[in-house]
Amino acid sequence: MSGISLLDGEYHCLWKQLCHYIVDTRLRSDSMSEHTTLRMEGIRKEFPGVVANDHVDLSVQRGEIHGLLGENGAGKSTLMKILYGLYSQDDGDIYLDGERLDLGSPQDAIDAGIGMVHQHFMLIPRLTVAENVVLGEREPATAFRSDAEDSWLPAAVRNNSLVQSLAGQFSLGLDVPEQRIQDLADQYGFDIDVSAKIWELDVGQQQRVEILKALYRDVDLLILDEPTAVLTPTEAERLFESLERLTDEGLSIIFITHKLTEVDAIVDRVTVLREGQNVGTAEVSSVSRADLAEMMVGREVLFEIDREAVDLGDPVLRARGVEADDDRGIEALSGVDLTVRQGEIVGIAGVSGNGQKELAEVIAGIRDVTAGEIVVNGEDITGAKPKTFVDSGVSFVPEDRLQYGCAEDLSVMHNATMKDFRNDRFGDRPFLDYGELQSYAETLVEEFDVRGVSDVTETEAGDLSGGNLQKLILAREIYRDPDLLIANQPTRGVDVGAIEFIRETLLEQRKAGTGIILLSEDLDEIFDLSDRILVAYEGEFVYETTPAEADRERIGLEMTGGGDGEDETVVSPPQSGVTQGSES
Amino acid sequence: MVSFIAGLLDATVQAATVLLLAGMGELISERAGVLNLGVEGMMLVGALGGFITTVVTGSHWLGFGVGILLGMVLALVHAFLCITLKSNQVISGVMLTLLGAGLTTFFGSGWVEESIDGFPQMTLPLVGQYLVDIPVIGEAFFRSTATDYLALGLLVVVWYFLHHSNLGLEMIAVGEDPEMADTMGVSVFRLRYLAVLIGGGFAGAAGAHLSLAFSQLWVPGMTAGRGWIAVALVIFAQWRPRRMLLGAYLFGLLDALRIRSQSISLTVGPDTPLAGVINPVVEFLMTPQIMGTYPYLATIIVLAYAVIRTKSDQLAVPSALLQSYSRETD
Amino acid sequence: MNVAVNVDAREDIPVWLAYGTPVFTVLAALAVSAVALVVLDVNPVAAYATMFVDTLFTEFGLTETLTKAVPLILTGLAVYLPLKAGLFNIGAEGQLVAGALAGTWIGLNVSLPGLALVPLMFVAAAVAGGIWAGIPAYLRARWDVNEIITSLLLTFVALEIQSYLLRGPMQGGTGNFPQSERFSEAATIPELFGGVHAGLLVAVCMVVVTYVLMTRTRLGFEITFVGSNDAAAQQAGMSKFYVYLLVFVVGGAFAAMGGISEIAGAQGRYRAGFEPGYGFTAIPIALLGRNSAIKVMLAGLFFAVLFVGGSSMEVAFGVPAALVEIIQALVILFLITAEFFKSYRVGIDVRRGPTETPARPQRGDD
Repeated sequence: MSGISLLDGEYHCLWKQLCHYIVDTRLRSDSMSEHTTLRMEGIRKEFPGVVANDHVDLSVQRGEIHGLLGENGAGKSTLMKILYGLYSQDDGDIYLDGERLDLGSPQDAIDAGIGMVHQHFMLIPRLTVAENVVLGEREPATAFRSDAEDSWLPAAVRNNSLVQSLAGQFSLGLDVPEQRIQDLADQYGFDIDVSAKIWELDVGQQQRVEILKALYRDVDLLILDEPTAVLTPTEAERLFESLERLTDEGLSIIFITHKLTEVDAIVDRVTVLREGQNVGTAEVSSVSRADLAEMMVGREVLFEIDREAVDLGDPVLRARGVEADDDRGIEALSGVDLTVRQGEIVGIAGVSGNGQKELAEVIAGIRDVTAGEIVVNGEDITGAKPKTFVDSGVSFVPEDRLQYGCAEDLSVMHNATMKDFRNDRFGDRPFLDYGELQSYAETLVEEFDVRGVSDVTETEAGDLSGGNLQKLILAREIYRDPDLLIANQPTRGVDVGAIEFIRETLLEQRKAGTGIILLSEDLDEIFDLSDRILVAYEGEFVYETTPAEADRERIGLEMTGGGDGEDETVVSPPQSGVTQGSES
Repeated sequence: MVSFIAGLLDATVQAATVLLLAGMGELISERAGVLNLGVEGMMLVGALGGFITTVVTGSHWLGFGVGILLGMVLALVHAFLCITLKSNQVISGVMLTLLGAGLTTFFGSGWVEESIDGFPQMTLPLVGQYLVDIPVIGEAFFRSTATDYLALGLLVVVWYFLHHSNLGLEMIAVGEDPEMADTMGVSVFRLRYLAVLIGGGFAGAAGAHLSLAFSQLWVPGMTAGRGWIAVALVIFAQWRPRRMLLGAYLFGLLDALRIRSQSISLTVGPDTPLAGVINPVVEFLMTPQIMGTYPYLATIIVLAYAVIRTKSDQLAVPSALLQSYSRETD
Repeated sequence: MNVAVNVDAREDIPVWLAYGTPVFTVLAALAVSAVALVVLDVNPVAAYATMFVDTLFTEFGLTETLTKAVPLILTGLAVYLPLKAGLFNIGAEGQLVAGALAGTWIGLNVSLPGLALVPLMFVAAAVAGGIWAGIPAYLRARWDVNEIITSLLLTFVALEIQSYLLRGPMQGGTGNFPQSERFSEAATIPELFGGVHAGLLVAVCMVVVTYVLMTRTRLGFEITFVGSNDAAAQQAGMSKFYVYLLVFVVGGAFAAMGGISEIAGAQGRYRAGFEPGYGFTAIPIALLGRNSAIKVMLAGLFFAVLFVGGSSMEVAFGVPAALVEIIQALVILFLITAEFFKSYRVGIDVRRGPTETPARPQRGDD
């Protein structure tokens, strides 16, 4: 049943049990520590179709940097949004310094002393640092401040609530706040000009402004959501220094991340979440990276799809030296080489945010490369319009269905034919035979088991459930018999039944000779479907292997940056004619 | 020549006031993220309402006040549709202009014959009496109606309010990134409502000024497109109050020149080289109607230039303009 | 006692709401306008009766209606087509004027037999309107400059140019009036039947062309898709740039043809002050007919009835024709309000005593 030998499996189980035991004991003792500042108990949060947080406990000590580690979808973001008042939990309690909190809005969280630095900054580029920090606090003109010492207004007048209210609304005094912000910045080593406009600052500085927003409001607990995602290594270093100084002054920090290097660098204790559950908490000094990787990612292999041997054909894709920027203009791909052959599934493993989205978009032709070349079926189509890619036989199942996978307000028929409506079978130019479109759509719906469609011309794509919409998109992309198929997180947000169907469909298409690039955060999926596995990290491929030779822990490590940092010698792609086998 | 320039300046100042009043209101509304294309309609109801009130009560200040109020009433409809019902701001605005135009033409036809004692010309309080005798510019700048002075005073207030008060800061924030403002505890709804109402009030004031000070009569459609020019003015000024002053005077000057263009000739003598080409071209460019296109063309050029040349996060356009806001979190 | 207003997003639009909306909005607009009539001491029922009966049941009324419908339908299409692509053409009035001017110039300055001249006038008009609309379209397609503002401002530019031309180069006829020469027989659009000129034929043809375009061609598919999700459309290989340009240029051509048909068909000469406002009326027309060119045509006919009826009401009751403008505005008002009710269900709860803490709402994310 299991793909790994029985002996390994046993060892696997034992080790996990040991881990849990150690961790549970620690956890129990932690919650009784007098240094505990935050306690989240039994937090449960459910969304339609998915349990984001399943009875999660979390405890943070004062003055520590507590890491929250986990893959995408593990529930870290949700848990922190609950803590910050953006969501409310279905069940469970939150205690801060022993006091139970009722957080209905971010304002409540701030009032309680909890601040959050979001991954996507909430800053207004047009305004200055001081203005962004001070927004909402209604700081009145200096003369009206209740703490003003040499104001010409007598204190009695100043402290009158009506006067305060009016002054707060109709005046704005930035002198005192700017000084205070500058003091805070200096105290923590931030190099910021408080009167600079946000757009003048670089990303690292902007992030520090986000932190200042929280510090200005006297928070005791600061949540940082994947802060290094947008920073260069140097900037990240400086951030860490700042964080250390913050904790020296008594601030507690929750640091969300999926990078093991960071956990090593700066985190004191770490809690690992997986699939909505707290898998364990540990002192970083007493746990190895391998352990953490395994907790984050390791899963017993419970089932496996039969993957037959398939002859590989010519390369359908040769991408060389591809570099590209993300939407912010920061480099997302730093020199990627990728070759895919007919009948081959190349699985790209990695945590979201390491360049996968950009890679998929580049190969699909909807994102420009800044360097490198893309050759499809022997033709160099680097920089060509999307239409050229489509006509060259490239199909794309994007990560975000609604963004560019479909048009929500249009019918299933429209969406089913959006790539192929120019085909001759649908009528002579310039006309379009909607009857043909309709039957084409109906065929797709039937063959790919898309449910919830009463009438292909009436039912809107947005009405379909996630799984069915994904099946429709996959149907559309596959039915045209592409030469190259890019599937980015094809089973994310999809119900179990549809997942199986989608995976089987991919394998069938592989048999038909399509070259498939599969990007997925689900390692099971990668293992089950891929002929080759590549691990993406920070815009490059850092490791290559095959399911047969793969070591899950090693992959987990590489995915989170825990590898030695050396580029693995790329295993040269098998020559044409050599088959890829699998074990059963 | 001197009297020509003096007359020109006088007309410029007068024309500028209307644009300034209407433009200031629109500026505030747009900075908070709501486009108001109903300015023309709000000006008309302000003009008619103010006029009727003054005829009936004899008080032009009361009329001015009523004009402001009526502008705000129409603006309330716009605010409700766009902010609460999240309707399309463009459609709502154009609808209100149609409504304002229709209502005022409908109810106002009976008031055309009436005449009033509108705002009298007066020297600027305190200092005016000394400065009014300055040749050329004295009369133009220091003898105007109270509402002309008020407009200038309000500009200072608006500038201060927008850039040096918390409400102003919050309004700007709401027009740039309502989600961020919401997270910081700022009430997006309330601020946008406030901004739109202020915009309507100013538009009503502009209309009342038109019928009570500028021309002191009522004629259906008397705004003659000034409301649209005000909208253009805000864009031309790239949403900055001080530039609006400049723009209002520029557009006012163009308007004044346009009216007087027939009495000037900038042609060169027939012996000058290329006179055959230059003269007709200049004549063409000075015809009143062609001059009438300049504010619009200037605005299009400024807008296009700004959008093409500026990086997206430095565009002067309020980032959330035309976007309805609703809190998506639970 | 507590009153709470609950607003929930709807899952489906009830059928009665979807189809009834145009009818309800019109009825509501008429009802509210009745108040204005009452204020003026006019019996609303009698007034509306005149408006509709006179217009629909007299020969004169019908011909007037069909004549008025021509520019209304064409400008309605001019707003409708870009709308399908997700763009807002507020400048239809300017495109209409551009076309009227170009067509008039040809009509007055080119001598050809009527059979050739009139079509040429239409072509000239279409080209002029297409160019006039092409400017905002290009600015939007290439650099993302907001087309609402640019097309709107260009309208006023066109109106000024019209004024200039009719007082200058294109001035004609006896006296010094700001108007053109009277059109010759050759330049006049021939009568189709009973007082209605052939411009109606053009309008109906354009409706058919638009309808076929949107429902039976590849281009129509692309336009629809770009209008719904341009990112997905681009991913699928469609060209947003091309679509944006096309819908605006064609829309401009439609409005332009509306302009010249009014001048060369109904008016007989071009008078300055030709500012019929059709370009703005086109907006509610396009909204009422938002799903199909045929519905746009019907909406155009309806507004033609309103216009003509307004005039006859003015004659019969002394009611200013501006009432029609009011009704128009109210139709738009109720239309947008109805949009809201189509998407949300509103319930009002009246409760005694203190409000309960509402159950924690559950909403999905991601």
